Amino acid sequence: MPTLNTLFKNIPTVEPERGLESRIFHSIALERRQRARRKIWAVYAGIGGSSVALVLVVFSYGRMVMESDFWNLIQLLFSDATVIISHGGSFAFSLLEVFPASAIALLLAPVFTLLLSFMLYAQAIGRNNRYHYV
Amino acid sequence: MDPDDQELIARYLGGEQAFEPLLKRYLSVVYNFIFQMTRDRAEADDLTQETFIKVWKHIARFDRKKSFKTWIFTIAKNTTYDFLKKKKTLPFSYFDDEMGDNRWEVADEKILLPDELLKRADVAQELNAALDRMPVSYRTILSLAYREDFSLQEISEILGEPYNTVKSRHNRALKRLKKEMLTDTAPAGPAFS
Repeated sequence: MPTLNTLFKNIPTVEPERGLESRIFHSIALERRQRARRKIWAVYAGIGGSSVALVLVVFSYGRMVMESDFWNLIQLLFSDATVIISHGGSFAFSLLEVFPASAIALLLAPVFTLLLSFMLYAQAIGRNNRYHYV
Repeated sequence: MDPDDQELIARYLGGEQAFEPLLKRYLSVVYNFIFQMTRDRAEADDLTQETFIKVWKHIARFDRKKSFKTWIFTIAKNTTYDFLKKKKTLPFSYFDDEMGDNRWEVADEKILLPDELLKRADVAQELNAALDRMPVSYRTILSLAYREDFSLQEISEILGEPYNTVKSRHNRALKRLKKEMLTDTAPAGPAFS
């Protein structure tokens, strides 16, 4: 006696059209290319934004660093190196006292984002050039 | 021995060419499931394509402790239902139908088709024709339960509905199937409102 399961399984299977499988793979390949393109453009935006930010920050805060006591102390390393070396500990503490932390942080931030953007760009290019299995 | 779904997914995520065997394994089964809902080959083609693209997009997020078959059928069902809603084929309340079945009516636990009906040679064709006349929600649940061998718990995961809701709808679907198959003069026409 057939069961309901048997009856349902005996309903004729409808086969998908012959090209459906290749259509699916083609769509996936297209989707992958679009994804890669979006990533590349995002990386370009990151590189562009970071570069602009770096230039702006250098112009805004670079002068502050160059005119600070910190830079004046650093210049002593080139003029009176032997004296500085003999009083290395005091020199180091003096540097720390006048270290322009906020200005340096602001200068370094766009440098980091720029380096990160270059790293992501290299990864994206590498991924694009690799053969893609599906 | 053929690798199981989890192994294929692990291989694919590891960079191997493993999506193709997964697709081949499920293409016909998913296509038939979607066809059961849409009853249109062209729509089933497009929706199957959309389903597998979604599977590919989200496979990295798939929880490998769960059943891949349940997951792919959930995507297929959601994709098809979204399409049918846009097409306005699925009524807002697709529990009710033109036969006047009440969504809150709980059918008997054991709804069996009579032996003399089951013995008929053309019962599979009659069953197919009866399914054609039924609402999509009933067809979906019967197809998942009896053609794809999902348990009611798995069906409730696929449909995203509580177990008891699925159980009572399953019983109503069986009751409706029996009515359709025993009624010689069942109303013709679309099963959607």
